[in-house]
Amino acid sequence: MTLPTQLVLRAFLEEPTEELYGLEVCARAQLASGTIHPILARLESVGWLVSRWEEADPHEQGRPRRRYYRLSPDGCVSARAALARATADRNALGVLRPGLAGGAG
Amino acid sequence: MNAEPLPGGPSLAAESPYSHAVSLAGDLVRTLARADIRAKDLAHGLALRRSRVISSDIDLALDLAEAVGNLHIAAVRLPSVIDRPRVVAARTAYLVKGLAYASTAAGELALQLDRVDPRGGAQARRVAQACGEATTLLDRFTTALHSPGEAAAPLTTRRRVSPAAQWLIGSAALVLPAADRARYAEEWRGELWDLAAEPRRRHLLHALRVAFHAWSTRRAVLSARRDDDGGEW
Repeated sequence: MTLPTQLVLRAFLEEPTEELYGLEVCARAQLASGTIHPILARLESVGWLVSRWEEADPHEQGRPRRRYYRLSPDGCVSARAALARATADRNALGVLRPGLAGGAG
Repeated sequence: MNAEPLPGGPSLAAESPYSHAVSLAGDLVRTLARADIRAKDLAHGLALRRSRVISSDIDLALDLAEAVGNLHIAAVRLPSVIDRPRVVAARTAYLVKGLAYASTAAGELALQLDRVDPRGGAQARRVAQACGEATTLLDRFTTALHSPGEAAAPLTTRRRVSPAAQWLIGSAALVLPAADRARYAEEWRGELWDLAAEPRRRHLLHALRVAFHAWSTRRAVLSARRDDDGGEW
C-alpha cells in the first residue's frame, strides 16, 4: 500500500463515521489537492469507502454538488488491519535497514 | 481535446444574494457538528476513564463539550434568520465569542492532557482545529453577507473560477470511461468551486493535478469493473 493511500485511510479513520469530500480529505491527509481521486476511486471499488452526492440542489446552492465519502463498516475494519500491517512492515524494514525507516545509521 | 458542457455548469447564476452565505452557513454547521461530536466523545471518555476522580481537565472538557454543543445549535439556526440583519448580527457575535472561548479552552485542555493522557490531548487538539475552521467559515459568512460584491460573486463559477482551470477539469474528465465521466466532472468542478476564493493560480494548479492524475483515476475505475487484481494502490 502506498504512503498516500495510508494517509488517506488515516484521515478517514480519525473519525470513521464522518463523511468527507475531496478537499477535506486532502487537507486532513496533508496531500496536494487534486491528487487523491485515483486513491478514492480504488478504495471505493474495493468497498472500503462508500460515496454519495450532497443532498442539495446545485441551482439553489449556487455551486456544484460535493461528493462525500466515508468508510464502510467493513472498510473500517480492513483499513485498520491494512494500516497495522503497513506499520509492522515498516518496522520490520527498520530493523533490517534502519536508515530507511528513519532510524539511526 | 474539447471539453464538453458539464452538468450544472454555466447556468448557476440567478440565485438569491444570500445563496453563498447559506452555503457557508451549511459548512459551518457541518464543521461544528464534527467539533460537537469530538468534544462530547472527549468529555465522556475522560469521565469514564477517570471515574470517581475530580479533576480540572474533566471539568474543562465538560464545559467545552457544552459550549461547542451550544455553538452547533446556534449555527443550525443561522440560515433561518439570514434575511434579518440584526438577529444575524447578534447570533454571529455570539458565535464569534463562543468560538474564541472554545478554541482557547480546547487548546488549554490539550496542553493539560498531553502530560497525562496523550490520546485525549490529540482529541482536544482536533476540537481546537475544528473550532479554528469554524471561525474561518464564520468570517467568510459575514463577508458574504455584508459585502454585496462578495456575496454575489461565488454564485457564478465562471466569474470566480479560472476558465482555464474549468477547461482543464472538463478535459480531464474526458479520459474517463463514458459511464463515469459526468460523475467525476461534477465532483471535480465542485472541488474547484470550493477553491474559488483562492488565487487563480491555485485553481490552475489544482486542475493540473486533477488532469495529471486523471489517467490513474481511469485505471482505478476500470480495474473496479474488471477485477481487483491486488495491484499497487
